[in-house]
Amino acid sequence: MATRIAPSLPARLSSRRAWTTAGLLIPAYGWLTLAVFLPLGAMLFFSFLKAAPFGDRPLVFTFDQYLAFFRRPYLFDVAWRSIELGLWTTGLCALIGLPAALALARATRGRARQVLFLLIILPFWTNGLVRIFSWTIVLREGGVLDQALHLVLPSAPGLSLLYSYPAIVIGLVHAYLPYMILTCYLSVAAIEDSVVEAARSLGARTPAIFWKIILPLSLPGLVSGAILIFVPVIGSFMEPRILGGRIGVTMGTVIEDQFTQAFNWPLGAALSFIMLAVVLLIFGLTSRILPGRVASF
Amino acid sequence: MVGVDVVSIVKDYGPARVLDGVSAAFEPGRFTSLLGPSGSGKTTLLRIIAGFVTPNAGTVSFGGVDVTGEPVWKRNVGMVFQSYALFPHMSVRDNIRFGLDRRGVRGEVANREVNRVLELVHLEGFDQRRPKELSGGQQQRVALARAIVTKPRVLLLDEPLSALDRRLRQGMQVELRRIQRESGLTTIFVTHDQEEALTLSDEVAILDRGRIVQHGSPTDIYERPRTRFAASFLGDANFFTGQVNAGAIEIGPYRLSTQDSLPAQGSAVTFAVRPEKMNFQAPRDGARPMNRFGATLREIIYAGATSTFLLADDSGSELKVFLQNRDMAWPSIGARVELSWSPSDTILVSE
Amino acid sequence: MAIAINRRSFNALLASGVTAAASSGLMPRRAAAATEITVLNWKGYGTDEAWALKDFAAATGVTVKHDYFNSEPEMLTKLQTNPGAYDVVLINSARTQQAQAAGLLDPIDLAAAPNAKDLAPALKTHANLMVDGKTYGLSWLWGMNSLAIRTGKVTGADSFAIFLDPRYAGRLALLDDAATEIAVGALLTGQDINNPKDMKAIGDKLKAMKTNVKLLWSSEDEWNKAFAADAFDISVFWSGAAVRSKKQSKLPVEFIVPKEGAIGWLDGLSIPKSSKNKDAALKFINYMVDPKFYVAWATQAGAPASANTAAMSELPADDLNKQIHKPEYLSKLQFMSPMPDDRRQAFNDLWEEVKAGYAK
Repeated sequence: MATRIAPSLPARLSSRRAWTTAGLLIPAYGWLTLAVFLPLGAMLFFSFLKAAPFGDRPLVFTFDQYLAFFRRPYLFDVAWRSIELGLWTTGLCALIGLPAALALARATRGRARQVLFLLIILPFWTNGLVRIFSWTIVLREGGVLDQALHLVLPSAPGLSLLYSYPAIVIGLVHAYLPYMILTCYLSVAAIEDSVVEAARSLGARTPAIFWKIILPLSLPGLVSGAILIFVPVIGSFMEPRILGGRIGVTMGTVIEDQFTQAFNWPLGAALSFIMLAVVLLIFGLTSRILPGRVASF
Repeated sequence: MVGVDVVSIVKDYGPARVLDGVSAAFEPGRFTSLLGPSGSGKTTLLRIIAGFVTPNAGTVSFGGVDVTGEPVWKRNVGMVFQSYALFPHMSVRDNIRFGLDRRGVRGEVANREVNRVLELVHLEGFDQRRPKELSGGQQQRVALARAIVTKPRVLLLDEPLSALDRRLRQGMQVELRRIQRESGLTTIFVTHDQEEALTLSDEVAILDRGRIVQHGSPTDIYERPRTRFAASFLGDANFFTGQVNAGAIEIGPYRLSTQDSLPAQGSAVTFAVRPEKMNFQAPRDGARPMNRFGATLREIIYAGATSTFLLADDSGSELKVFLQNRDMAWPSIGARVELSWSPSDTILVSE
Repeated sequence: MAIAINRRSFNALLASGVTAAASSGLMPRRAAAATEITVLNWKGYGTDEAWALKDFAAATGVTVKHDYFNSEPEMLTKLQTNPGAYDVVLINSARTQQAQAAGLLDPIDLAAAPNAKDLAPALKTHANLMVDGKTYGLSWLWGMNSLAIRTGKVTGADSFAIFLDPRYAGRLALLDDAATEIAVGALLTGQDINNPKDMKAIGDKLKAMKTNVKLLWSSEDEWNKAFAADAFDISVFWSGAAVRSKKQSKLPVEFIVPKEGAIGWLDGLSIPKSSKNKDAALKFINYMVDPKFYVAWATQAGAPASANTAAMSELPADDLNKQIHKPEYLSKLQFMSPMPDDRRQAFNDLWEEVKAGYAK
């Protein structure tokens, strides 16, 4: 039978504590409400309209916008392409990011590590658009890459990566790689040296150490990095537009078009919420597949 | 079950020499402690034996075979770390199975081995738990089980009990000893706790600043320390400095005898007497005369079963006497007393 | 130098114009000399030329502030949501009636704007600018969306059909604007660009361009950079932008009106109903179609064609603007008109579908 162990707080003290808690939480929740929930609520409202609610037009409500995929079957292609982009970008970021994080956490110290950290987060300090445009300078015909190639192989044909799928992926990986490196670094740095040594003492060589010890323990970092990268990438529109040429059509660009070109805010809003639903679905599925592994040890 | 031999091990970290020509032979099947203060090099020596650190000079051999150049994973050692270093993402069973798996032992055979050591460490039924669900003592035992399941040639323990509280520690010491005896593994145990070293070991090697100062059985080392460091690190000691004169040691008006061989006439000599070997003006010990020494009683520290007496000799240095509280007939504080002890307890030490 | 003389005589004319205006009572009285008007326009599109604003302020005492938009829906939104904030607004003739129907505009009294008498008749009373016989936009600038080619590399271009020519695979840049591209498709299939009956034919034509399309551009700067980097040889382009690209960026581009005709557009200056400075606003609008302003602007910076024929004729003979914007083209152009929402939506949907097809 459960017994009361701690004496209950006097009423005045516990309500004061409640006020203190509220006071600490209100700024955060207030900001969330103002900056996130209210605009989202407005968008949700729009998504059920027939046309953007400006001018003296009467408001017409409809579910039509949510049937967008059936009215416009080409959107299935676009949606799949966006998810593909997300997978490629996340995959490449993981492939490059985890080894980078490993090198950072286990092979560098002191000054060298600080300098490397700085270099890694440098992309965050630059303006996104400027970054993407500088990639056009590198990737286009006659650009830096092309010229470098011709320095080595003068007779090679012109190299233009611009306006292609790889160009989009390059731009996205460059922009989002730091996220993966940082989240993986946090996980890898938490791996105690003694754990690796213990594995060695039990007869594990470097490949086994990587696959059986380091990779499983880095999984939380990989997963949180993947989430931080996949979600924005499938909605990205700057890189596809600027680096992709005619290839650069994604859910992000389609939604952007609805807001800036077509002035069809209801459709844009509905597409956004459909995308949100897809992302939540993906989360729901993966959280079932990776329960014990992702949970903190 | 093999013996370990280290010969002239030298290890430098930059300008600092951490091990300065250390040599020792660890008998097969015996429990040896490496005892010393922090910075003495004991952990470094252990890690060199394990293979995590390469010495700048010297050799390590297992059973006569030189393993100095061999990587860790080849040496077949079992190691228990101070932080236990259990694999946090694996269950207890998987943790223990890891070493077997590396050696190609899998399936039913592996499971049987795991069960065997779980029984040995009294953790049957815990095999599905995760490390974070275990207490400190339980993690300890899992770490031990994991280290011994592969039947390593040598068991190495790096201060494994220092993270436990006192009671648990003492319990684990007993366990450890039992398991070592049952498995018969050659064991090398690093600690800075001299009581632990004395309790657990068949042999103790004392390290000081990168050198082995003395290596022998606990009794040997305790009763007959060879250096001032060994005498003061292991237990308490009263130190006296005097001059050799006609077969005895002269300190002021006192002539003190010893059973150790004295150096040349006229040379200065230091000796130690353990506090528990001293008494207040005891009568003659049979036919043998006792050493006498005058001092003033400064303080009595009463501890129930025993008492510690702090005295000052004529030159003001502190002396310590340690007695059981048998008859409670003590001198009073400030009184001048005469201490006596047997010449066999006068131990000559070098500085 | 032509420019210097123009400015000096321009100033002199302006001064005399001011005196004339003062005597005719149109000048704002001293008490209201600190009048300030706000103009809503594209950035860098004539009304915010610094030298012009200075001269205008010196002559009339009216200071001009600006606000900008990046798309026509944005312009409409700003008008809608900020009553009283704007005094002059640039509205493309395709949207004038839409804005009027939303109750946003005041009619413009052309008689009160002296320079309006020289506006090209076809444009002055263009149907798109009129509602119930009243003019709601003063026709200001016109231009064409048509075919632009790289000189020296492309020959025999006289039709939009070149967009389907396999010789130019991967060398075509299209404008990312539904109305324009559907119009190109309409021209190619001989339809009315504002009310095509066979949308499927347009869609098919546009989809057939896939192998030729390299990229889609949406700003003049983007076009210039890509063209300068030799990314494409043929494209849809704006006439005014072509003038600027040739003159300022020295790019080897030639602007062609193909045999199917081209898409015309007409920008008008309108006065919002909620403006508080309508007199000053009209003064500014009048100044904008003044030949002296226009010629200076066109020769210095490059501009689309002025709706004021007098202004156009005052351009020097070798002026690219004049060469490109020949008055006889006016008859070959189909001007963008207002269209009902569902048709606009259909255009957007078709263009989005075509773009998705290009990306496959």
